[in-house]
Amino acid sequence: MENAERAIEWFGGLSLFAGQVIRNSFSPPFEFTEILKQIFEIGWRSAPLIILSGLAVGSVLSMHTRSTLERFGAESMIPTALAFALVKETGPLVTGLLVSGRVGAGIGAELGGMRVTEQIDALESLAVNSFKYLVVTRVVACVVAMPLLTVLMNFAGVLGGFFAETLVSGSSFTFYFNTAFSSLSFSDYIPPTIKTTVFGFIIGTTSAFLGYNATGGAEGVGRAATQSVVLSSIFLIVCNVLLVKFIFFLYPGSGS
Amino acid sequence: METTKKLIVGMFVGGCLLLFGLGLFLIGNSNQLFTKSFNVYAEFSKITGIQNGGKVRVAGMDAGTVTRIEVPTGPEGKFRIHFRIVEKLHPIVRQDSIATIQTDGLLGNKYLQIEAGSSNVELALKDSQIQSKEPFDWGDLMDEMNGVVKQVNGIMAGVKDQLVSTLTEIQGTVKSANHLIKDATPNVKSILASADRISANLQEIIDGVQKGQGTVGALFKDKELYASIKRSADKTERVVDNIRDTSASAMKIVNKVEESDIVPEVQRSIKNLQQITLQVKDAVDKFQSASGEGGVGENLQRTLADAHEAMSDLSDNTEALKHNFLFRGFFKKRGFYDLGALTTPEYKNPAFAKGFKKHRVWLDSVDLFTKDAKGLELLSVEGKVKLDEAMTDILKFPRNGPLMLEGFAAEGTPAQQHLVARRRAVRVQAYIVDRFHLRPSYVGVVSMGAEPADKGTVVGFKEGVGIVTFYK
Amino acid sequence: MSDEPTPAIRFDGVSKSFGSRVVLKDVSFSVATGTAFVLLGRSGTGKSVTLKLICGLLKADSGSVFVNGEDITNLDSDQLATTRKRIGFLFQSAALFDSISVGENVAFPLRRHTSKPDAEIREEAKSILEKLGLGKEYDSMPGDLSGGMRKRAGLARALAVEPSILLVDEPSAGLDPITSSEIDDLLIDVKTNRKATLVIVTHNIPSARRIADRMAFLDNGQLVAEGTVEELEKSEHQLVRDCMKSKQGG
Repeated sequence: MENAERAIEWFGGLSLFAGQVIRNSFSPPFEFTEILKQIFEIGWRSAPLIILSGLAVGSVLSMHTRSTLERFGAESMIPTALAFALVKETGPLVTGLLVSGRVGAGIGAELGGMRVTEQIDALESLAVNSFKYLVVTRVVACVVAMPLLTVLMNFAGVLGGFFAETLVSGSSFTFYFNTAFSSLSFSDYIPPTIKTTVFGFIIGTTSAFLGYNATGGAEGVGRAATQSVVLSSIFLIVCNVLLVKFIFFLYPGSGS
Repeated sequence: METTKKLIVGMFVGGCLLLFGLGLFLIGNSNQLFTKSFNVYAEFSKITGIQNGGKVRVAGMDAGTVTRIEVPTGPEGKFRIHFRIVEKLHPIVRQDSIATIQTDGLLGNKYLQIEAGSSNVELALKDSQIQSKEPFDWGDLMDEMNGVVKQVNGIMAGVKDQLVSTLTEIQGTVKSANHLIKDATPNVKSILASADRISANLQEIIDGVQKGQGTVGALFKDKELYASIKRSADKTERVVDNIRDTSASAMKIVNKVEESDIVPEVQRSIKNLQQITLQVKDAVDKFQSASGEGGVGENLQRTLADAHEAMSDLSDNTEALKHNFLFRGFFKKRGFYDLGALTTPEYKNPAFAKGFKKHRVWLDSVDLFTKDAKGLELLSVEGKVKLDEAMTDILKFPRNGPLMLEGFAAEGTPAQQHLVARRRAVRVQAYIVDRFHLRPSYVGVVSMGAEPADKGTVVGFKEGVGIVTFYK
Repeated sequence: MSDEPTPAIRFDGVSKSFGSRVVLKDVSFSVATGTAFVLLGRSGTGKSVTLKLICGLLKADSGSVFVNGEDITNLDSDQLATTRKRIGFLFQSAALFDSISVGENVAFPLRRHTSKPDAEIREEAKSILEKLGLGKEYDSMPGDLSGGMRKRAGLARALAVEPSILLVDEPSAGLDPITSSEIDDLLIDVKTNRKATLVIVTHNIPSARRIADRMAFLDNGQLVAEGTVEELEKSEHQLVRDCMKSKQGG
């Protein structure tokens, strides 16, 4: 009972925090330099991970779809099936989970460390709004970086699929990419990519909340880092269900 | 923050946006969004799941997308599908182009197919309506074929009636008419036989589909078969139209004959025979080929021959459909494809009704049949009672396999044995199918000819009918 | 009171508690401009909280905190930021931003609050570091520095915007006596040369004696004694007198 109460209280705290993030994102001063720096850290530094994973995921998906579609004699649909799987769901979700692993832990640990070593207080004492400087910048960077990384993931995935496919059937690059994208419509491509901004917000907010409010020394920092990954992954997956439903609601056509 | 970092961030963001844009471009390109195009529309009473943004193909080439679907205001209205076609393909889209809704591949999306028009017809105008043909639906084909079969049946019956009545009316009066009828009759008969067979095959296929043994959509995989069926169906439809036309003309002539009161005349008075004959001859001349080319008789001949061909094609195709792998499971499970076409060796083959248990009831021919004046065996009253008793026993078993009637006869030459045995089985089949409302396609007849009797029961050779039920 | 100059810092009946734990209970004192005020007391008696209240990092539950005559308890964050620009804070762990170099740490407040060109800011940060004996460490990362150097770097950052008030939390914590006395020298230098007001929280009595103009003793959230070094030595509180006799920090 007490646990439930604490959990609800914690969630309430997170919600207020998220609200504060949104409010602060739209009021000056905007820490542009810091946002750019965080996009560098969160986006650029994650790119190798995302591209490698994309290549791997794409080639594996391609191999699986091949073995399935082969049975129906529908090998020509492999690029299409792969693009559908990647662009509509796998790409955004895998990117979200990878980013929550890499960046979520990073934000949780970094802000947690700054909190327990009084660096956040130091910032405040230097007349810097630490919330804007540390939290808002990271959340904004996550929101910006997520769709970009998702695009990278999608293309790396299709490329990985192409490599896997060309080894077996020797299909041409142009043909593969054209087929892959030709059956998609904008409603298959744009909403799933845009929805990752929500993933970015979830990852940024959850891990920043845990880090910013960390207590208890080094151990607390570790806890904040772990929880950042676990909780942001869970929230992301749950929220994805709602988002997918919401996208179907907005674009009934994308349901098929 | 150093300048290099800023540069990297800029390149990263820009590069990713560029990739995203490339994706947009690839998608838009395949949907022909960036090419000059024109808008037209087509109307359908059902749209079988085509959606906004659905693809449009002109003669198979990607040509644009569905832009808007207008829903009809009332049940009698039609859906109006607005779509774009790239200007490049405009020259082949003519005012007689026909729009149909098609399925992409095995299980793919629906798309709008626009057939290329004829070169002597004007280009389709912008914002104009393209003619449409309702989406092809397997169920519809079934209905259509059913309808066609019924039509053919009806028309055949009509034609036959007319022919028969004409025949009786003028038989013995005009020889040429006799010739005509003689020529037509085999065709009519074989058409009727084909029609019967088609309906039986279709019925079985529909059974299979209903039992979930084949996905209708998946049938499209067997493209050749499907196309062949479709061709036959189209042909049949055309032929039926011809028959209708021809029979209408035939009807007119018959009416004319009737109007001329020749029939009563013939019956009434023999004195006027000469005159009547002349009248009838005149009418029949017209009927045969009086007006030179396109004579009704000739027409009828030709149409009937066409119909015969089309119908037997269709019959073959539906037969092939049964052997299509999607349905094969169903027929395998059922244990047989077509009891009507079952030969004795096939029946004796252990592969027949594999996995079924059987129960047999033996009935001696002495108990079943009496002989009529010509020496043909008919079911006796006692025989029918015996059969009823035997069937009560048989019907205790589950009715999920074929019911076979084995005819046995040992007198005469092997050919005679075969015929007698078969007739016996057929008599019993006719009786029990009618009496117990059995499904004809599940009740088969097989002539076993002469076979030594089972030890202990009857001496000599078997004479009679065995009723065997297969069940699981 | 009215003819006296406004004190740099004045606490007026300030109370603060965290949950059910009362940290400060009706505390009042004032620190005159340009003097060094040392807060003594056992661990967990609210000394650090007092510093954070001055700088607005924490808000008093009741009572008022005046900085240069201005009540900061009811300021919004913008106004608070203006006040904070006049206050330097040297944290116990120095709290250097460990993701940027020592020089950038010092340059940080300058970059934030002045619009000077980059080269000038670097020059200024470098000169501050040189004065504190860290001239060679501009590009070192904070993690590579020793405890004493970190403290000095932290002091450099706190002094970068030339604050009129310097808050120091445990200057000698974790340092050897020699380094610790070096830091003390620096603090005294800040007081005398920059005319800054110092508020220092410490356990180290010898260093407190060296720096302090006035001292206060916190016990159980209450100010039990306040006065000059001599006055506290003669305090009626046994605890205070015992404490003043100790030679060691602790």
